[in-house]
Amino acid sequence: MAIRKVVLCDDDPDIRAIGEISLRDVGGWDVVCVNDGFAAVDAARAEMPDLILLDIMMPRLDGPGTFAKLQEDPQCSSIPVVFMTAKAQSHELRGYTDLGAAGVIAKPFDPLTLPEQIRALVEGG
Amino acid sequence: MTTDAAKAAARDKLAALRNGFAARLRERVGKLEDAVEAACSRDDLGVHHTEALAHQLAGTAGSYGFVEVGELSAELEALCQSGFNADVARAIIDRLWTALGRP
Repeated sequence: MAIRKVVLCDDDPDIRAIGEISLRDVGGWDVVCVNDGFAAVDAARAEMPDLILLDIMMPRLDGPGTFAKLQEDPQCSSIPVVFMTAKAQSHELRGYTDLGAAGVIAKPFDPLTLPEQIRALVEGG
Repeated sequence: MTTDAAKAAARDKLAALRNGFAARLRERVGKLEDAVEAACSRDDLGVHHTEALAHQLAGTAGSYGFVEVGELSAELEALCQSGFNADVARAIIDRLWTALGRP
């Protein structure tokens, strides 16, 4: 599956800024940035992206809660989701993929290689 | 795939962003220090606030290339989760200021 459009959801504006440049300029993808889980669900329905990059720890609606809402929506349930988290304990990472996510990216990330990491997870390298 | 020119342009944009982040980093560490002091003198709420700020800075600082700041923030976050200790927390804050270069 080729990625063309990505929704990036993170409550930290600094992560959205660096992520947007990484995904757009390095990855060559269209990027829609949102700052919380509810906006991510809305953006997924409106934009039908090829991938959703979702922060775990967010106020109001966290990453797993957002993922559950996306899974409940037949229109969005097949969109691959990659979680991003600064909690890099291996048992925690496994828990997120067990939920059905396509993968987990550990923060901090290198903006120059982030798109490669995502491709490896979603496109199988 | 992007071209080399696009990647070079991305590097320039990232460098500009990093400069902006660096300018705000002292303020963020200052807020973290305030949160640690609140946690030292008050209650669990202060510890949770410290944990949240440290968690955010751990992910962000490293992504902007401030590796030591990111690692120290992660250390502070872990301390909040494993059992807050005022002396250790203050020592981490001290190391954060050292990493940034004291004025």
